Amino acid sequence: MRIVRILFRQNKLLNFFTLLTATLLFFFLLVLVINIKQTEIEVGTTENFKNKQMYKLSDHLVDELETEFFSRASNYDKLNEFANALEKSTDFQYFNAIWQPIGVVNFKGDKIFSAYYENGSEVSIYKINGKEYHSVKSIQVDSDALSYNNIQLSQGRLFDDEEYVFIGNQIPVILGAEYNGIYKIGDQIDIEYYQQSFKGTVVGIIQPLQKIITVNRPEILLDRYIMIPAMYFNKSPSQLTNDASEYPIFFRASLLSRANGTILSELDPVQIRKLVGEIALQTGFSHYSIIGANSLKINTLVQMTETNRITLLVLSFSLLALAIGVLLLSLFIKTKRNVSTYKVFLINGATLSYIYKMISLQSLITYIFGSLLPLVIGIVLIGLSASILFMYLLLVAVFSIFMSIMSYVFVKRIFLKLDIVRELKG
Amino acid sequence: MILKLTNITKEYNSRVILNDINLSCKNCEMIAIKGKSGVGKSTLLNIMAGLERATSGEYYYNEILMNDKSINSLSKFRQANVGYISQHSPMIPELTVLENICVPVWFEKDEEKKKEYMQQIESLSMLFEINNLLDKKINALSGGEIQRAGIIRSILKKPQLIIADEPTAALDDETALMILTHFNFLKSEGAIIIVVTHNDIVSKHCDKTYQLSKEGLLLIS
Repeated sequence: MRIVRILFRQNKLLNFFTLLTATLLFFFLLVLVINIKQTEIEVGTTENFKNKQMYKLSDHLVDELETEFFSRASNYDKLNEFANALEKSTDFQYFNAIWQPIGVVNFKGDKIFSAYYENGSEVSIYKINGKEYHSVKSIQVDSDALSYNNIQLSQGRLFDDEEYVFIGNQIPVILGAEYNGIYKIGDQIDIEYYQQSFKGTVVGIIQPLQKIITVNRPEILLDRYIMIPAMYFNKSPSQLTNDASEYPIFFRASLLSRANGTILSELDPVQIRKLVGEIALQTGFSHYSIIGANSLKINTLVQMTETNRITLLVLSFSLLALAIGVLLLSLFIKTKRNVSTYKVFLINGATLSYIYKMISLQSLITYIFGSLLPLVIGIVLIGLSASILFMYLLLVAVFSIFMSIMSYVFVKRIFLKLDIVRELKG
Repeated sequence: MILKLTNITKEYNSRVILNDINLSCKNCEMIAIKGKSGVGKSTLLNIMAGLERATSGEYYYNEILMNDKSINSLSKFRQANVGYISQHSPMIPELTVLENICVPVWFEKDEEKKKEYMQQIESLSMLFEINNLLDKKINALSGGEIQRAGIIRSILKKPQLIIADEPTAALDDETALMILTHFNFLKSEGAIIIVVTHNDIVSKHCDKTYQLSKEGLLLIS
């Protein structure tokens, strides 16, 4: 190791440059790993949507019709059964991902999380029962929406099946990646959702760049979202109370949200209309329409994801080749400048292969140190998941070993050209 | 102990550098090799030092054939037996004089020997008058001082075979004599010393002087 220490003491500027190049390369490698992982997820996600049509169900209940419909408790049951039948159907896939802002008490985040921040609106704050709520971006999802969109967490867990059932005011909450550091797992958040107060507990943090595909918006980036379960009732609403006027707004909104979900299917619009029509007939709820197939946007998205993957690969190989070139060039310059040192080792008993090994070891150590800063940033600042870190470390190991072997071979060739033994004459 | 070269030839890219070289020397012997530039003196020394191999012929050291040895075995041979002094001793500029002299010690595993070498550095640096320069960086030394440090490094382990390529070229006469006196001392302790030189003072101190030419190695005195 003393020999390697001496090699580090020589050509300090070049050694620093090599370390800098290695650090930049590994930064790029980390970004690449994140992107590859994300692309993998997106490819997996878009596979669920590939060659399928998306249909959006939309109720007609507005104004007087809505008032009239919800004036009877039995209609709540019809709507509930309609939504249940859609969810249980085996003829198509049905999921709920509802974009609906929620209110949060003592919100710790800044304005970027506000419901309409991207539209240039000011932070919206409102009061209910003396409590002050910040209106923030939120999405309510069922378990199918999470699985079809292949949502990955960096910490914690997804919702358990029983957590989708409305029981009391306790609900689990999963936060977007940009909430990391603002709230942590186990934190309690007071939430208002359709005028119903909930005590939310943070159970998970989503990985960066996770998206949900919906009909209205092909991709909802979840980084700034609070995700809560799209809740359903395990009893018919009429079993809770027979007086329709007692139902809170939350009941109506939840039922309507569940009935306004998305159908994902290879079936054509006529077939879908027929199937949903049969469900409507069985349940007695007919105030809906089906918004047409939206395959073009989805297929474009699938194609873009695939193109993105190819672009990433081309870019990564180009940059990798460039970095290898720069690293070998600096190794070449260093080797030529260190000839005197190698002569000293050689006449004092070192073999040429020992010298090559020491130079390779120096390269290996440089690459290992170069990988540390991106690793620390990845862990401390970005909070990367274990799988991404594992993939990064694996790539660092493969690249470092590959480059060390390359260094060995490269230096051997340089020595052959220099004919260092004949240089001993001085 | 005996060093014997028989019909040694060396070629580089089909160019004959050494042709039919024969030489024999025993311990307690100091020999000088003279010759014109480019005649292959350094190549001959490199072969004897185990730094390169002959194209043909036989090189025996202590009755062991060196031609068949691998590069690694030759390095071990060098480490155990050879002190190599070149015309301008290479140094590692970032290190101090002491650290540069200590390089052979780093390759030694035996702790007792390491201690012995450190004592040897102390006495040799006194003898060669560089004891007050040991903490200095190499850049602060003159050419002669660097050469003396290089010689100390080469003879530190009391090698049985000292190969020296114009060792006194960078030294003044007084220092050259000092070195030669020490060579005589090492010779009296059993070492074989082979010196390439153009300097008559050096050759006069040697037991035999050879002339290297295209025709081979001829004993001239």
